[in-house]
Amino acid sequence: METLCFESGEVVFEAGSSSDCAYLVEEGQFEVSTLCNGKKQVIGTLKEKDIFGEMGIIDNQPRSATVIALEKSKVSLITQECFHSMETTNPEALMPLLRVLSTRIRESFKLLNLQNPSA
Amino acid sequence: MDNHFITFNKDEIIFLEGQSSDCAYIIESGKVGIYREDSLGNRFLVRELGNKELFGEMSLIDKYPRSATAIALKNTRCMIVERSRFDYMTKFHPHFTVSLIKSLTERLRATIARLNKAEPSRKGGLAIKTTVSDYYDIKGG
Repeated sequence: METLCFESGEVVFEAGSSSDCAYLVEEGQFEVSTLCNGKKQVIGTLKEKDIFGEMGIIDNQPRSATVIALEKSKVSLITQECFHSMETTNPEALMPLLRVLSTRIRESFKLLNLQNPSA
Repeated sequence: MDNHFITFNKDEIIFLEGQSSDCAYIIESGKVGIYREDSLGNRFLVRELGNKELFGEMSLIDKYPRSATAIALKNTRCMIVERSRFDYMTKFHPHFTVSLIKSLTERLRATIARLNKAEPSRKGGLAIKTTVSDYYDIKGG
């Protein structure tokens, strides 16, 4: 799997950019931020073993937030080809993707509750 | 491996949010409603599922309690997918895993869309909409 290194402050991707790969954090830390009324708002931090951008290899929707390295960091790149080859060569490597999706669904369910709604 | 089937009458609860679990279901016939409760305890419908659709799999993936309640909307027959079978499928049938990944992604997007829709329109209110959608689009995609 290809790895990429980032210096502190370096941008991994920006909101609005097209997405065709996911990332696995090997070392370091990343900050997830978005612009809210023109102001930068930090919405999460990613650390070792975190996966991010995984929906990009599944449905290619554009990024809507920005990820920046907080320190010297390293990620493995999960390309679409890599994702598809996992299907045949290493299906068990797909399990972390399932888990991360499951976690995000649970998190968004919680927010849905907070938000009210008899929506 | 044995497949087991189970039948539910209309309005019968298949499982409740918060329950521990060790199986998923595939609908053979009938219809199932997936419900959540809001902070006031009111139950609301999240989605309806029909023939051949799988539900309850999240607990098999992450071993946490049920994230939602499932109720039979008609007389319904389901195949029970036990943990051992699920583990076998994810290990040896990657297409199964990939279709699960796709279905969870769709579900996540639908949940985010619902969150965005549910956001109160008042200005200066909860910043959840921006936060959540961006968080997921990014962490998630």
